Amino acid sequence: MAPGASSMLVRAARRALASSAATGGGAWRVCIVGSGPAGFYTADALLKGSPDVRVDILDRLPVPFGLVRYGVAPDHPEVKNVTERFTGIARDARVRFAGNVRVADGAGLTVSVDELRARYDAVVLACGADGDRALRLPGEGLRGVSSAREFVAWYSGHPDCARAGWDLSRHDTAIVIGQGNVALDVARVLTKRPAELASTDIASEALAALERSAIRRVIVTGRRGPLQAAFTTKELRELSKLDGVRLSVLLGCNADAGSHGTADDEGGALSERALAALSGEADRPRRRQAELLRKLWLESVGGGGVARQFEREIVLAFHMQPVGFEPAGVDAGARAGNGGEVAGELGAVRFERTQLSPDGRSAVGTGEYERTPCGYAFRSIGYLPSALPGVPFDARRSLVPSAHGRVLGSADAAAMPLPGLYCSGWYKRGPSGVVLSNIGDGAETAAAILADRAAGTLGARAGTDGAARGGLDAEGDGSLRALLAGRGVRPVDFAGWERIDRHEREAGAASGKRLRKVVAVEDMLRLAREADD
Amino acid sequence: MAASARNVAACVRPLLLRAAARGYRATQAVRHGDDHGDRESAADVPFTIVDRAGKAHAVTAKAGDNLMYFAHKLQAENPAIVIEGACEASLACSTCHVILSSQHFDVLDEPSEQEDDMLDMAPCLSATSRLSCQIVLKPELAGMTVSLPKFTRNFYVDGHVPEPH
Repeated sequence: MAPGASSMLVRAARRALASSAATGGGAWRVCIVGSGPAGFYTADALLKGSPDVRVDILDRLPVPFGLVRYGVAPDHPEVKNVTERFTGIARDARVRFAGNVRVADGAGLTVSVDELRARYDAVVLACGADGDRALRLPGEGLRGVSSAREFVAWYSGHPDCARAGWDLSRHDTAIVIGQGNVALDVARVLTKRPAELASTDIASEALAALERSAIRRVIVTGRRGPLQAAFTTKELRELSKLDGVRLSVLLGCNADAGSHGTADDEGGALSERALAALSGEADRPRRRQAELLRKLWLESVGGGGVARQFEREIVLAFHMQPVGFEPAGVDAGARAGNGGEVAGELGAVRFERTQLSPDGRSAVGTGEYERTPCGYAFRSIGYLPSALPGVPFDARRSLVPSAHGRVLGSADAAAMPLPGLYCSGWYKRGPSGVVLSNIGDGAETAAAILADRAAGTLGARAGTDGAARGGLDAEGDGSLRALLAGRGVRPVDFAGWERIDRHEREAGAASGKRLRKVVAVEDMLRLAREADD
Repeated sequence: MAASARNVAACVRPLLLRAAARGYRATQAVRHGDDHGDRESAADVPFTIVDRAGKAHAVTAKAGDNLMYFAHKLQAENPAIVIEGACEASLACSTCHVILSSQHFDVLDEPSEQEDDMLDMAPCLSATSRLSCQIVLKPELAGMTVSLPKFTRNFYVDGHVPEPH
């Protein structure tokens, strides 16, 4: 062995020793990318499973909690109580939070996944889904067509969408395409009396836009039938109880003409006979939802409705598949005849009516078309995880290939896990499920990490020379802390977030809101650093 | 705090039940300012919690205790008894879902519409499922079995359960 190599080894060994002394001997390190429910519940399960683990949680924003802060609707503050739990986890002495750290290709102010893998025994990708599924229909680029995800992020005060802005004062009808809980959130926020939102943490700009809103009617459309809708009973019931809002249920009829079908139809999928078939124990959620939909449908038809004054209306319309968006003020002959791009402002959505395929899994077009005039259309057909440099991605399924939380080398069924790389939450299983889903999901990913550690297959960091190792609290040249400092990235720690939080609560109390969110990243950074500078 | 934590631990050991319950009672008022009523005279409610691995734990609460918060107290000394409570008992999640023995399920008032709506989102929903944050213990519930469902159907499919060190 050359003398130089030997002294390098000695240096490396010294660094490794110093690093292990700094971290308390047997400590091992996990880096979690993303501080939403998936990140925190994975951290929680790791902390419970191993007393000597050190967990660093990164977020690209200076503030934690992901979709609890930027996805849960402002009028559902009780759902956000879970941040108390996450705060307890973040205050565990074994946990460090670093906001304002973006994981991408390692260029500029970013850190790459490979750089994290070289420094940690395990890296967990819990970065959720920040993209939208597109419909790929003609006219989707018209002004007035937008994504529900961006709208939600806007009214939640997300920095990325602060400038987007929606002028809701120009038209009286909005169409939401999709029938998940996000679709119902959008419908509810668009129809609820703004005064009822004023005390929530809704973004001030959004509240002002809602106060000027001209929208009187929101039509929430689904391709399939009432028994296939993705929303939950809780959200549906909430819609049915809004003050001053009429909720109508249409069963595959012309939404614009307001035809509800007749009681002679017996309600099709919502007929008493169909409901009686949902008698098994496992059918309970579906049955209770169908019963509520039937009740609402009967009220829409005119059976049980009480004469009330309504300021606004929400229409749930089933068996409607969008086929294109039409510009306003253009006659039929000039409408995007060649299927190419059309410019201008949205005037209507064209739908094809559908019926269920025999297995109930898909909607099949019937060849009957209808045109529903509207000034706004919100796509609410799903969020999409984004690919990360250095991480395999199954573009067809828009997912990271994984098994039990272990990231696999490729989408190939026979692919092997990549040592030390894991995923959790929406980044693992796709964009569905509620906060609760992340508990079992995080536990599964943590169990995989703990099992791999016990089996000695964590790998990645063990293969390095010891120089490049260590996380946010390590002193070594190769620690993440040193790497970030070298790139000029200034992370926001949990105490920094708590300064932002305190400011938001105080500003909220002063203006009669639960809290007043800071929207601009530079303002967040300034508040977080007030004590440092 | 350490002494009272030991008392909670003792509660889960049937042989020491009587003495433990006495000690537990003596520390109640100090430890749980949110509890109302006369703790000294509240009746014991002994019952069984079956954890997610299927292991039974004999426990004793007091009439008037909220089942979810009672379980949270036990968790400090018995990590196998894990009940979340993400929404702090505000009926906005189903993370405190438990399954009751059927004869005891019938002793309770019907769940509210709101609770049923949340239960419909819970994995492993059964005919005797409840949200533990909505259950106030009473003497008639003595002897019941409270089972903690597995979080997801594929949870620990490889049979691996991480052991706390």
